[in-house]
Amino acid sequence: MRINQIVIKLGGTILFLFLMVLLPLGFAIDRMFTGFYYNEVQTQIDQLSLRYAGSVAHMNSMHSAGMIEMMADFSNVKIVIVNSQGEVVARSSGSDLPVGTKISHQDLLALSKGESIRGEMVDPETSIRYLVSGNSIQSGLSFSGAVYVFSSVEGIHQSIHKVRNMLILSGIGALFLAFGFTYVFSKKIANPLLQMEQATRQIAKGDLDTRVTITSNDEIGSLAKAINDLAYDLQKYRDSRQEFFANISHELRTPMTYLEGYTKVVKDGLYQSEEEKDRYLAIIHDESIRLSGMITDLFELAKMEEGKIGLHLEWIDLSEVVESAIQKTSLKAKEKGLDLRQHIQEELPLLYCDGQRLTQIFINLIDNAIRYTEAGFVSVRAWRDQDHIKITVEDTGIGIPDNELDNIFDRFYRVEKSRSRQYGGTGLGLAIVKNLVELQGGAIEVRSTLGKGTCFEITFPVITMNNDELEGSA
Amino acid sequence: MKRIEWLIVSIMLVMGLLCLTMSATLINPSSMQAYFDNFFQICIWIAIPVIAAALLYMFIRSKKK
Repeated sequence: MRINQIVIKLGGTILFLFLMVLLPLGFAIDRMFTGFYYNEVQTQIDQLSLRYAGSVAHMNSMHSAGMIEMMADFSNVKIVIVNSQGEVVARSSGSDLPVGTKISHQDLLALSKGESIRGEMVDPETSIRYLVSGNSIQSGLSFSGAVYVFSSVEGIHQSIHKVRNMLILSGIGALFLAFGFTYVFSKKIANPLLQMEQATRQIAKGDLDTRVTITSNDEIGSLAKAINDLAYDLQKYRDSRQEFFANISHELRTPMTYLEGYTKVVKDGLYQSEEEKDRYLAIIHDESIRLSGMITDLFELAKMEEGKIGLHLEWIDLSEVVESAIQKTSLKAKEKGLDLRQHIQEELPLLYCDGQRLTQIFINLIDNAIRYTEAGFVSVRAWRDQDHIKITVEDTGIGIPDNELDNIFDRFYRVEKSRSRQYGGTGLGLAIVKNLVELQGGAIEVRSTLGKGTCFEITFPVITMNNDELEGSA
Repeated sequence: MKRIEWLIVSIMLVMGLLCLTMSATLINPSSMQAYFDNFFQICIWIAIPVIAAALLYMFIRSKKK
């Protein structure tokens, strides 16, 4: 088992914290028990010494050995009686202080003032520890001696020792329980991480169908969702790249086949008339233009996606741009008999965009609309909607099915795949439009009804000009 | 978790429970009945936080819904 595992680290940390709490808690409980026992015995012998001091005070003779022995036996303690000079005058059997011994002057002074003596002492011969309580004997108002009660604490020590052993045993039991629960808990936390690690390794190896099955709503669930999203994006990227290469090779091969075929026909003189030759040359010319356009579009798109395209941003009058685009596409519309309309709201705020790129966007969209519209109109509208300027390019063309609307801005994506040569175009126009709009801070949406028409809606935010720019544009 | 890991964890938990029961019973040794009573009560004391956590979890989930 590797030590550098999250289960070990987490489990170790929890156990460490548990011990940090358990050990001082055990110490505190031990102190509580010890203190409690000592206090109980001390209180007991305090009461005894006080009671015996009162009893002796009422007796005529404080030297009655029989009486002292009886009291000591009765209470299971040892009793010593001292006179007013602090000299031991009587004692029960087994007491450590022999008759004639003197207590300390300090104790005698305290007792003479009516104070109690409390403490702990060790028998030098037997090494047995005793708790001591001394109380003064008062005859009327005068101090006539004191009663000392000694109680052995050996029994207490044995009890405390037993309790301490039980505390240690229960501590070990708690530690075992903590270890068991911590291990399960740590595993439960670490398992999703291990699952995610395995999933990401699978994804790194190229198995992009791998998904993490963690559904919790916490940070781990969020991480799992991020990994799944990453895998989905990578899969989408890989699919689109493969599709792109397939499309580009197909789109380039078609005009190349035309060029190859017709140049061979012209070169080998396989035509019957000059008109036929001119028709073939025209096809070669058209296809070379188409090929050149496609290469230009691809180059532009690649630059945009890499962020290498340079935009010349300036304050632009939208109506001028729309008019310019309409002017350039009006001939095509006229050839197809389409009505090209424009409705630009007056006094629209200026847009901070690249004029040339903006014109390119509208030409692409209007050109696209004309290409897919056989009858009716193509309309360009622009108006202000609160803090945005909205521009729509609407047609009455063939429309786009709902399930294809999401893909309409993909490279080489065509709605009418079988008739792509009939409609023309490179299949890159809308991809370029979307990139150009987004590069200039705008957004583009599409709505369409199959057989009725399509509407592209571009939204640009209104940016306020400062004074210097106002003067400059004037 | 593997079967061996569950086995280790189970042994740990049983040993922990036995130690706690022993410490609770041996301070005042009596019958086996007292031992099993203590064992049962320790299990209940362990279950109390588990039940409390489950109730809290269910309460939070019902609040979220």
